[in-house]
Amino acid sequence: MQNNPSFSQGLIPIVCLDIGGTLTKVTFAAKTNFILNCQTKQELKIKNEDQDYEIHFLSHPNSLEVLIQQLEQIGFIIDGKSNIQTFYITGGGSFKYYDQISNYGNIVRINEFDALKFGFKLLDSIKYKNTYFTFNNGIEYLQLTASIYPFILVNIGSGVSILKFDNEDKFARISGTCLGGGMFLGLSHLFTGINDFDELLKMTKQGSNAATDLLMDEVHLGFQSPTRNKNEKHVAVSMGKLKQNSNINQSDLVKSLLYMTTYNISQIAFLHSKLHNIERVFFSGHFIRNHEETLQCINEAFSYFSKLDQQNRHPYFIKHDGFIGSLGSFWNGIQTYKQNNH
Amino acid sequence: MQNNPSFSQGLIPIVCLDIGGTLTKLTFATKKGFILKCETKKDLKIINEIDDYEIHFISHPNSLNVLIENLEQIGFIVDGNSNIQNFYITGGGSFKYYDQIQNYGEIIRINEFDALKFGFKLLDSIKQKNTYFTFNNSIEYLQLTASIYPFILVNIGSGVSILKFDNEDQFARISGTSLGGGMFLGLSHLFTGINDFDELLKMTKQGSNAATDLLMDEVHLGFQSPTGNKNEKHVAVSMGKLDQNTNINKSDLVKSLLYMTTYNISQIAFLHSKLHNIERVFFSGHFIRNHEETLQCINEAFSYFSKLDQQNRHPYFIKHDGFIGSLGSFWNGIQSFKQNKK
Repeated sequence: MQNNPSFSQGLIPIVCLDIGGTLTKVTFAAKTNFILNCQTKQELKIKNEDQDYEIHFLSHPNSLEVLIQQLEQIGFIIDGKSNIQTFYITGGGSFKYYDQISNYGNIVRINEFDALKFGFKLLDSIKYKNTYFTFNNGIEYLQLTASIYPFILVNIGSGVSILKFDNEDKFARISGTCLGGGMFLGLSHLFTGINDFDELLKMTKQGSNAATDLLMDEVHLGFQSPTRNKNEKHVAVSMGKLKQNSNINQSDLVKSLLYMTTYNISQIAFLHSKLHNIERVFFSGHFIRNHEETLQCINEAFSYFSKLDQQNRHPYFIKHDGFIGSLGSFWNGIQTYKQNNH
Repeated sequence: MQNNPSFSQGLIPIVCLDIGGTLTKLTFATKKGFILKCETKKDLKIINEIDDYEIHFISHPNSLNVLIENLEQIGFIVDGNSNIQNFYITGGGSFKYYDQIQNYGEIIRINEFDALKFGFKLLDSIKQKNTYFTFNNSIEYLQLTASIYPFILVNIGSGVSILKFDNEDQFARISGTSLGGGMFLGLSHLFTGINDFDELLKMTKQGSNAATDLLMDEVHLGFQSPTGNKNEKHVAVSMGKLDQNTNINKSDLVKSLLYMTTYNISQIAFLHSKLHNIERVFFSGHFIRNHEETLQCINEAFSYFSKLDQQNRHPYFIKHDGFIGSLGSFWNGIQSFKQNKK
């Protein structure tokens, strides 16, 4: 019975879930070098050298069956019996599964605010390499040796929330905008009939905004752009050519919408970072989902506004974007587990 | 020969023009009480009590013929002979008429930056009543007894320029956004086939954004709006319902685009007013053209962001919006005229 795991040997008996509108994120921990029988997101695995365990990540479209299957594969449930002490659950969709899940362990609910806060707290305490990165035609990982606090987090989902993290125990929503992923998706769908987000992002690779937007070097700006000739290709009027000509191809329009959305959010984010005097700005959220086109747009946009301000800042991104809530649930779980095991 | 005017009796012999892409704005002055034979914009007339003259305003679509006719009707040109000493001309379209106009008087070119600066300088020195106003379902004039400086001017044309006026001699463009009137017009045209701006604004009266936008009380915001329940009808996700349903009527979409455009510009404007510590924010530009729907949207939007910041500020508008450039040209002219008469 090769490698039949039991919780005393390999698995820490807590399972952390972040159940969203569509996806379930699973986070759990196993002793270092424990061999797992199931597929996990290898690139996200976190080694906690101090404590000799590794944190693993999974996600799947919401389904109780798939969840139970995975828990069986991992070894949390053997022959119908659960080795799980406690589930730490967060996320808007979590209430759906309470009844069934409670057959397999105690449930502790973590609210999304706390989950996010604790997720960053954990990341910051472990100081794992290759967690944060900038993007300039390719990923460049940052090695932050000091604390990430304070920072601003711009979370781009359907809407946009701008959050300020002062330190590991304190954060607040300071702003937002309704011109977010939902606007991009809604307008793209309206004009192209396509509402598959990944398909739309693929289209932006072929598209060019030259047919839709009026660029700086094409307009007589009553008031000169402060950087004048240095930014001829920057957009002066989004969709500025559409009032005359609406015969454009779909890829061009979607590309244009991507620029419009990312540049606008970047400007608003930059203004908040100035207002609050916080240099470090992270972008996250499932609008980004670490797609290259989007990362590149945000990098160019944010850097542009930074240069206008005589600075040379770049936006940061997070490899574990999407899993920070479940990591925060995990942080809760591991504190309690350690206490109980003294 | 009743009231055959000659410049020594009633007209100050300077003609001030602001020639834009489509419209020519004409500004000139007469002694108080002088009877004009032509139609002017009476609501804009400015009475300068101190110097005993009145400033009159006319605008017409660009046309040399119409301009000459107007000048003849006013009395500047009598039987082909011109009584005009100088033309003070500004505006991007002014070069078109130089050759013909100089048959009637010497031309002095004023650049748009200076024209704008001098226009406000003149308004501020005359302190005419009923020039500036707020809009809350209707016009409420402000009676500013002190200086208007410093202030921020948000000029919404095809694009948006944000200008900071420190005092009567100093101003600069501090920012802008490409999400302006051109975006509104372009996206509206793309969806409705209509690119007549006035017609689109009329449509917004019938439209409702409830079919297109996700409002605050319709979403489970991962992160609570800071004002809790007080802003249920505020937009959480622009175009948020379009990812599912694209069967919407034109008026609703155009209304939604108007909200999207005005709210976004208002937020960016508010952030700049905070950054620069300037309370007074004016909105101008031909996207607004003092249309009630637009004034109302901007008022609601700016006030919303002000309230989120625990303040109670409102945006200001300018009755002579569109004519400030020609007023600035006039200011130049009247300085020279007064000097020459000493």
